[in-house]
Amino acid sequence: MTPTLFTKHRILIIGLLILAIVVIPIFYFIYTSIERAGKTQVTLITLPEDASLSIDGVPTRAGTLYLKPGSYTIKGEKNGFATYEHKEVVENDNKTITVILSAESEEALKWVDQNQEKYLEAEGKAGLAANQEGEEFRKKNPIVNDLPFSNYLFAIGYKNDNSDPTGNSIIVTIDAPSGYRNAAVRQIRQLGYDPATLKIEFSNYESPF
Amino acid sequence: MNRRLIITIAIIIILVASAASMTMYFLSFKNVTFSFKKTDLVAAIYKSDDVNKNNKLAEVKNTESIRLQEGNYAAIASGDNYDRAPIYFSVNKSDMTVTIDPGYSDTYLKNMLSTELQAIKTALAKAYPFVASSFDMADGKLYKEGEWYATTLTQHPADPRDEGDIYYVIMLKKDDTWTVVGKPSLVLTTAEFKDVPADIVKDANHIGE
Repeated sequence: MTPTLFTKHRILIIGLLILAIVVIPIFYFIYTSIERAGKTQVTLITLPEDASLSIDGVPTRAGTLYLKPGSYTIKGEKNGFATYEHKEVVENDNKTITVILSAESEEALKWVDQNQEKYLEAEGKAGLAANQEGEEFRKKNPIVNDLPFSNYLFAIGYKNDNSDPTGNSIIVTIDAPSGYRNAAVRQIRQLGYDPATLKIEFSNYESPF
Repeated sequence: MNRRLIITIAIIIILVASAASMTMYFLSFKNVTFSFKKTDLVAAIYKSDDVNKNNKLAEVKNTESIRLQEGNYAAIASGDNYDRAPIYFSVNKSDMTVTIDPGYSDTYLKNMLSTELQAIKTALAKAYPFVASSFDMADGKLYKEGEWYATTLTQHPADPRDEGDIYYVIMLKKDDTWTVVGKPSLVLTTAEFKDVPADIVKDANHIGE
């Protein structure tokens, strides 16, 4: 009996199979790990799906991307639709960016009308992403769960800290008359938060120093 | 499969497992070097959850290295007039250096304050001449090696029946001269007082309570 191709080159074929099954995925895993090191997974969703997208002027596509933490300008364009341009801050947590273009021309309005389901789905994803960001915001600033707080002597609230481009930082605001401002600070401590770790601003107040 | 082969395989498995366990055990020990900021100190090393049980693991001097298994530890410095609060550190996946830089003990700092207080008051009055007439200054506290000082200034209210706002002030002694750090504030925050050690900022907010 003449040996078949398999029996003749058995070792070579098994070796190639091992290479294909084990080594290549390992190399792919190592390559992607190195490529994605220090980057954050960003899911880019766009509607209409064929809109042109760019990040900081560099053309890109919808789907999953890996970006280094930082600030990016996301732009979405399509004839008949208003150009979408928005600054997004990518941190270390996965992020979903939804680029939904608003229709301007007759034809575009017609397209939107015919694709209401797609819009609802995209808006749903955007809402989900917003909820996730809201959760992150609350996780980073747990005091917001207890604010606003007020009694007949003082009121404690919060506002966005514009010095943080991520929009995830707050300034705690205290509105209290002279003599009761320290009581408001003590109240923050009683709520379980260390005032030393917060940014605090007093309303209607001028320091004598 | 005959009995001898099964026994041989079992012995090999046991030997490999034992060798792997031994290797993992020895690899879990890391070199920890202790760097002392003052040469007259020695430090006792404990497991972090064992500080009060007096099960000392080792006693170390300046630049001494010991091998410790991955885990959480505490170093308690002993030396005349130094703070004996545990300095906690964690041994992780690599060799490390632990800096032992304890401040003076509270009793020593209290004694030190009595000799510094006049110079502190003079420096504060120089920075804010109106303090003497409009505020009551508490004795306050010295920190670290006596170079940091914090106290409260209670503002005289317009109406004596009201309470006055309490301001917290931090001062630093440099080249034998006391200076006010930042501005006296209704609450000290680490965001505003970046140059002040965070533990001082946090503690100073409690002065007078």
